[in-house]
Amino acid sequence: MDAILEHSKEQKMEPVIVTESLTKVYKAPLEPSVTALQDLNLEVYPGEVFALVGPNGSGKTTTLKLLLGLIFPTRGTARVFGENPRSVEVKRRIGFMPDGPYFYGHLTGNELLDFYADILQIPRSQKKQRIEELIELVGMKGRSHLQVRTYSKGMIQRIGLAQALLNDPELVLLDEPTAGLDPIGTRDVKDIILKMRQQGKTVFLCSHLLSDVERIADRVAVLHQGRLIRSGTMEELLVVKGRFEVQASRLSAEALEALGRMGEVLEVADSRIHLLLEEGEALQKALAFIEAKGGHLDYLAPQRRTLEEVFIEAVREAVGEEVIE
Amino acid sequence: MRLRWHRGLALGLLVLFLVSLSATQGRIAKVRQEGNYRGAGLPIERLAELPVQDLSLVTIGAILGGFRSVVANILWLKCDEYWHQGRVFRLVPLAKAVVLLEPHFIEAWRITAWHLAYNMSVEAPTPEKAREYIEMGLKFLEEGIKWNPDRYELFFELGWTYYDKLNEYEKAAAIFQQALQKKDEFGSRPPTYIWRMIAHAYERYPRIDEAVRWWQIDAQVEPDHPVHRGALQTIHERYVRAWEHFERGELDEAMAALLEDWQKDDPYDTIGMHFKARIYERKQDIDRAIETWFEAARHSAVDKLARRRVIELCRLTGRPLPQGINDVGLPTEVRDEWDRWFQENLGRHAP
Amino acid sequence: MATATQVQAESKRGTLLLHSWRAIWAITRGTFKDTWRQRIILVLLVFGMAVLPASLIFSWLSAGEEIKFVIDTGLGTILLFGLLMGIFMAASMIPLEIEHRTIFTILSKPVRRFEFVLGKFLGIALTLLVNILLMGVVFLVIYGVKQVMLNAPPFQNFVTLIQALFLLYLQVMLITTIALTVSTVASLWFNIIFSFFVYFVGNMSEVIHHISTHTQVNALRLLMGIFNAIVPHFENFDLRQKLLLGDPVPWGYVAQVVGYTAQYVVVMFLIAYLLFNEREF
Repeated sequence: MDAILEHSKEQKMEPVIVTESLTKVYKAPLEPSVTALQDLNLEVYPGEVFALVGPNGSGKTTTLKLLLGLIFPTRGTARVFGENPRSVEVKRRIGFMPDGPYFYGHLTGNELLDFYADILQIPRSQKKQRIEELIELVGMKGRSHLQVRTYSKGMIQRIGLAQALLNDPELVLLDEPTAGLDPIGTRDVKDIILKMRQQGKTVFLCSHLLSDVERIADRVAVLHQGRLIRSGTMEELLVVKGRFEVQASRLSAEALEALGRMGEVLEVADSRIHLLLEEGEALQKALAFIEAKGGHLDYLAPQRRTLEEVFIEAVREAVGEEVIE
Repeated sequence: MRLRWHRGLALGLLVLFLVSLSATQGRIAKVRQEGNYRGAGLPIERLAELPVQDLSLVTIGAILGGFRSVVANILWLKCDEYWHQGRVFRLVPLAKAVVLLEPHFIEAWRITAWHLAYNMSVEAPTPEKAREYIEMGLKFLEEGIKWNPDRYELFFELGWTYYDKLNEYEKAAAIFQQALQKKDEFGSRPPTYIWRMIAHAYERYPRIDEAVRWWQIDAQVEPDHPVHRGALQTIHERYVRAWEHFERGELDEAMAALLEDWQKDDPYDTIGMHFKARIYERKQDIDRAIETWFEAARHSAVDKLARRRVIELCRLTGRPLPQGINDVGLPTEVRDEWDRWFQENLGRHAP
Repeated sequence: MATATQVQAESKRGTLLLHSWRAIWAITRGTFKDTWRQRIILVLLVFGMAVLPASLIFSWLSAGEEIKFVIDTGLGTILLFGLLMGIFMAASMIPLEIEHRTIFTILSKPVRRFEFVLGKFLGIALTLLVNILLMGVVFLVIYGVKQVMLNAPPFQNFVTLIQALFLLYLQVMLITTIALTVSTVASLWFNIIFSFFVYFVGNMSEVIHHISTHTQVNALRLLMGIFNAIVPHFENFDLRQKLLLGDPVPWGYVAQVVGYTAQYVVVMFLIAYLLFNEREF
């Protein structure tokens, strides 16, 4: 998948989404203005899964709405496929699943998709087949004849995905796709997103569930109080340069203790140890030591932080900066 | 951007359509004016003349829009309810609201005026108050006529009130004649009994010449109706000869003819009595005139003309009014008092 | 991918409003079905139909007044209930979509904002048509019954009554359109209150016209003249005097009123187009 990304970057393909100094300020008549988004600069390339993360109120939904032409920028620009997001042409090529979508409850799943298909003006000859395919894809087979108001949260998300994909869009925008789902539902959604990427679609998703995002996103942007505080590929963000994570077992207690002093111990139990080591000399020394002591190297990889850790660090920095300022 | 010129176009079209809308509205307004669509509408033309306290009601009427008549109908039903409960005084303010909401509701004007002039006046505590109510009834009808100048019904009702309640026969006849030129709700001629009423009114004044004329008109208007034949015959038998003398100023001959033709037949006929009294008046024999009017009044409790003439003649000659006869000329229980007055003032018994 | 290109290719032909009729019709159908699920519409309909026969009970007025009462009450009731339905539906349509967030999924689809409003409008128009038709039928039956009770021909004035009902529908549509236009930017309650205010002002339009043509005060003349131009003239839809007189109403007049309504609706649509395009969600 990274190959596609690299490929598109090499080809210098046009980014699907570009924002430049995108700013949104809400002004109510008798109230102080609220800056929901401040100078956002983003690029999303074709074929990647891009995640916009941050806590509630950080500006994710605002960004999404700006990209959908539901609200308009106070300053700066947003472009989708190079066009103004308000354009109807753009909307033909995108699919959107809103956060906690409420649909016309009295319709059945099939009727709902049929309704949206008509709005999308999907050729009548293909409508039925398309709907069946999507229902199968989102795992709603056999339940699509039920009324939407009887659906569980998981079912609603699935049908929401289905309607977003009706027109086989090049770009799919998802707002909190895994929020409120049980583990199976979450996994299913993630699978579908990955499948989309396989098909070459671009996925732009917003989420505050950082652990869910970690598994599927190619690139991430972190928002905090309307500002972009971190962005980059997952690799760039999560991998800690110059540190490695090592797990070894079958070591004696003394060996464990000695090893422990070479780096930062995360966990030690029985004859096993899990620790972090500096790249280079420390690492080499430790590896040699393990082998010498007859231990077994179970795991060796560059240290990866979780997205959550990255996020917290980024926020602290940002807040710290503000305090200093 | 594309959106910008769309906006300009939209604004341009907006102005264009607003203008054409105005033009269309103007045309429709004209059609409505000329095509008589508007009858059920607001009483706009009279707005300026309305007293201030009524304006709020008219405003409410305007706000109600098409429901104005429904509200008016409901209020009118309430009035009817009050009437059947015997609470006449209660219904009048409500009825006034009804006609303000629906000025073309002829029934409301007519019946309310009747309540005022008749039902309320007989329940009045004093004769003066009674007279007041009659006046109110008359004014009410006149107001109704202003709002509905083309309908005969209210003219007739006004004429009738003068004829029946006040016995002002000349006035009644004049108003009845106005009614003849009006129309009913379907735009048709007024009913034929109005012609008869005119004739009757003239009979009682009496104006025999006019009475004959109008009976003859009536004969043409409703040839199959039996009344005019009998009426003309009676008049010719009893009064025409006397009238001809009367008109020529031959008063003694008139009296003689009158007594001869009339009295043997029907001595208490109102027309004859009135005619007799008029001849005395013309002869300047006020005493006898008053006597005759008195006699007429005694024989007919509802002859208000007679009572009125008694008062007018008493005033003219400076005589005190008979006790029991009120200023208003309305009937009271007075027989013994009159007798006494006759004794005192004219030195003889009441006839 | 084939589908996507196909859809795009087909849709590229339709940059004008014309080609999106399928989408608009989908919204219309959806709106129509949706309105019947709103309990209040059913309640109003049933109530309206129940009130109509009540006018038969009042029978102690004179003959001419009785039939006038039936016509006034009948048309008045249908107008009242029609207005209540129309105003409620139009005022709540867009605010409810926003509240329930169904509007986001639709507006993210390739349908123009105004097409959305148009679809909603047609859905409401259809619902009102059915409702007023139903009440109208009940009314005509009652009218016929009353006429028979009064020994008058039951079909007297029939054509005029149908014309009156048609104009009544147009009148309700006019107010509904105004309510819908305002609802593109206003909240539910503001809209309801505003619509009734417009109704009252519309009833005063004759007075406004009168003042604008008769007053000596120039400023007032100008002001009233402007009001006269923009206020909806509800008296245009009133045929009660003609019904009372038994006069036939020429279809040419009806056509003129249709033209008036159509132009007013276009004006409202243009305003709605401008307002809704600027609206943020």
